[in-house]
Amino acid sequence: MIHPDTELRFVSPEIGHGVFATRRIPKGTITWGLCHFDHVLTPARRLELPPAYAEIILNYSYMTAQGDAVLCWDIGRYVNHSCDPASLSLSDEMEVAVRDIRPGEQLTDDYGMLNIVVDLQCRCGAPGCRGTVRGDDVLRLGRVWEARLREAFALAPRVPQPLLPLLRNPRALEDMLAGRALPPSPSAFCIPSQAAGAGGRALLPAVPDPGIHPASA
Amino acid sequence: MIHPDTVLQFISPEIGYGVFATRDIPQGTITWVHDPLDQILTPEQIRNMPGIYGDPLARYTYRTPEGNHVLLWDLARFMNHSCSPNCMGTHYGFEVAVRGIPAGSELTVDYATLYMTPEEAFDCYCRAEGCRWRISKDDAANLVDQWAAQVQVGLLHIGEVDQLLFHLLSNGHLQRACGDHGVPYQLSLRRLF
Repeated sequence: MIHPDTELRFVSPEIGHGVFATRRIPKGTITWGLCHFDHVLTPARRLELPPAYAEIILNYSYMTAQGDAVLCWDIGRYVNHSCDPASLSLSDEMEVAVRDIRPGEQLTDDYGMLNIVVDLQCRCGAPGCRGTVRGDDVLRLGRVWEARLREAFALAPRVPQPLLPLLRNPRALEDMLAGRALPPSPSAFCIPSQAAGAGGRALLPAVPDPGIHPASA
Repeated sequence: MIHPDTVLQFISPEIGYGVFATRDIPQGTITWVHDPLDQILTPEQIRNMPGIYGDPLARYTYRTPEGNHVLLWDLARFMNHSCSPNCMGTHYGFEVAVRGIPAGSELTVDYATLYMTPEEAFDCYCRAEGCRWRISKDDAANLVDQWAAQVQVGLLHIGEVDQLLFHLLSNGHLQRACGDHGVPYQLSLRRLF
């Protein structure tokens, strides 16, 4: 479920929609977490779906390290990529704000952490835009992500966490907030080989169309 | 899945969002089909969710005759109630436009057709012609014949218009809906094949 202080806005015909903060969301806030309404589509489940759903899943879901495609039930599925994102993946079930997000600012994350199955051309325009978001970005960026996550999550126990009671697995966050567990290293849930072994044709389009992918922002 | 010629639009803080036609959707068009990504939540699954889920469940799901809650995966979950709706559901997992829906107008359904519980009665401000002001489970007893007649009108036009959602209909469901409403099935198919 996406943070409650957000709304869907139309960005442009090229980008489509995006998710924007309606109030300030402080650094260290969980901005998205897997909830009871989100779809967790196993490879077997994806194979049962009619072919028309492959494109929907490709455009709107992300992959876990286990090869499940997670399709957010709410506007979380419209979060766009940025090479200088407002949030990073804290695990494959949560995202955390890595800077203060101002009202009206777009919530973005880094698709390089989402086990993408096709590389994406990026035109996010952020300083240091990588140009291409790759399924193995963790090999080059894992340490940078980990440092930013550690720094941001240090603030997590001191800021409101409205998503905590809605999480499918609240215990993982409770343990981290209480210092009983450390945030996992990105290399624990970003699997560079994912692109090759994505677990089923249901996710692989014949011709990926970067023009309609949210990550083409 | 909702008809592709639709878009989500914010209406007001009281009503929230609604679903609007981006092009004219003619009478007889199948406007929604239950599809494999729609989630059916059993009473047991709902019992295992924290109490805080009560609000989104009440807001975004509808009930089946078996007592399950259905959470539609796409913007169909934002369809609002009207006492004079332009879409009507059938017992076979699809809705049909019972009159033409001009581009820019809102797609609506009658929530009393959705197996409400007594506690789910609500005040209606749609003020459509024949607005009932108060919508409750008991409306069904008075309106069931009128609803059936409206669905029949929609089904009678089903073969005259483009059906972009036809591929999602389950085998035999259109045939059975036509049978229930006394619409010759062959008539409904004359433009589909």
